[in-house]
Amino acid sequence: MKNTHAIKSLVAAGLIALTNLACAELVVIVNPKSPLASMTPEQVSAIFMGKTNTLPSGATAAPVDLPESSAVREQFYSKAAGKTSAQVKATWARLTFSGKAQPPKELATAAEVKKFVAGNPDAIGYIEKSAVDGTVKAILSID
Amino acid sequence: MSDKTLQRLPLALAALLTCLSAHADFTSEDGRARLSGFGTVGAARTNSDDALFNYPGQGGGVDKQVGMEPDTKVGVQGSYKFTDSISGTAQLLTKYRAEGQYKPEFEWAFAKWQATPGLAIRVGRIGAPFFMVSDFRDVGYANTMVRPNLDVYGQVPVSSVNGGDISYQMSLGETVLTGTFWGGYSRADYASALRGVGNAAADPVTIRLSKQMGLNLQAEFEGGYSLRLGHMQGNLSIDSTSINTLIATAYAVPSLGPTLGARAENALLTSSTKASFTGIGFSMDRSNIVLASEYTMRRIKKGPVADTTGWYVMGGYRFGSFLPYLSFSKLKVDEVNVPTNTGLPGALGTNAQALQSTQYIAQKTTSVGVRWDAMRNTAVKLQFDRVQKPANSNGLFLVENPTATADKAFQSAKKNINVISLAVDFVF
Repeated sequence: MKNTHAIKSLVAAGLIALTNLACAELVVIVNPKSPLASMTPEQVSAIFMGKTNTLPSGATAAPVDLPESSAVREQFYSKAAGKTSAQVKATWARLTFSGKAQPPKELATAAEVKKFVAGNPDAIGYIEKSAVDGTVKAILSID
Repeated sequence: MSDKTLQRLPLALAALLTCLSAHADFTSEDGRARLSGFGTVGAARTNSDDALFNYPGQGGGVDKQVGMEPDTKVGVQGSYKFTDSISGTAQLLTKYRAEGQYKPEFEWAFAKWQATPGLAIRVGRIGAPFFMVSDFRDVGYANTMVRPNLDVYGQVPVSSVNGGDISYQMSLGETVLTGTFWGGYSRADYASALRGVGNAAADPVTIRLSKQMGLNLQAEFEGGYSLRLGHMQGNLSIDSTSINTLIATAYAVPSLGPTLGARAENALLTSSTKASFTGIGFSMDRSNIVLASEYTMRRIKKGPVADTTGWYVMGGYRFGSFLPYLSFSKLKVDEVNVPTNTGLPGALGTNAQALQSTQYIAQKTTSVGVRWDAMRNTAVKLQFDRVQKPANSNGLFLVENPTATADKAFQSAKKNINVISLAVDFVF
């Protein structure tokens, strides 16, 4: 009996570890010079889902995405906006083909996202928390 | 497979190849130029050879024989950012049109000035915003169902306007409000009701909407709800070879000419008559539930084009990559603006009445279907529609010749017609 319990605990612990592995902590980053101190997931998702093009500071946002194949991107949209990649794609198809907005600029790696955000005062992006350094400012943590 | 079908295959194959090879849109190195596209390869058939099923205005459609005409289309859209606030956008759409052929046409060609983050001005050819889903109605991938609800979207044949719009967007807490004031001139070709009778009458009818002005108000609430109100008015003119010929024939009748000519004009002419369109719409996409509904009213002051009311309610539930859906809709003729007795004698009277009869378009539709997001850029849809048309109505079906006995019999009988459609939608 006791053994079964131990095995169950072990399996549970393993599952939790796996979940953690699949979902590393993400942060939303902006330029260190940005007046923004924090943003809510709703505010961030409004920009990345094309609902608004304005940052809470009033400036026109320059959002930047990771590639569609990136697991970090999938996790970002599922956690911040509650949308699957197909839903995100359909939303942007609606905006693009109504001439209202263009999807965020896409960069290949987290390093490029960091570089872009560091060089643009109105940029907003997302990377894994472990990749954050002094060149960018984290304003929201998503896990 | 008929010769006609064979002729259309290359287009479908080209579209399919584009879909499979192009996995992403193109953005230039400096991010200024952007090219993207969309398309649908669709096949449909009905269970009746009495009349053709299509998008109202198309010069052909499907019956018991499977055809790709109604739904198959491909669009390419390019945009260029001249500065951070000034851009140009053009969209070229190839679909099956009034002439009974696939033809490319510029749906859009406009310049946009984003004056402030909230204020945008567009000038040129823009999408005509009559409906909740006006601009991307041809983008199957961006929509739940195979095609926009025809009981509602079939009321207005124009899809673009030469003019411009001013839109202002503001946020109130988590709610985004957008107001758009638009205006301009539109024209569209529409399949002639008498296209089956002789060559002269087969020229598509030209529909013109001039002096259009409209206002749209939209609110997008937190959590995926949105509400839209829209109203437009303008002047409607219809230029039809068959109607013009009939009126000229009436005027040419010896001695009675002036009287009969005036009666024919009264019965059939649509020339710069006041027209308006009003709609209210609601949509929701939240925790796997998809809902959309629109209620719309078309009002025409004079001439044979009827006053109509169209509405639909659509709901679906997302199970992973599958989205089964159900929809109910109705198109009602509120008032035919001309007397049913034209007062024209003989063949003139018969033909005038036949032309008028094409404006009896009442029908209702029940649809069930499923959307499957098969790949990142591709959705596959299977849909079944049951269209019920009352007696003394053509519904939105296209008959070969409204003066023929068989087509008159179709019009006078109550009919249920089933449509089955399979569509592959893609974006690139």
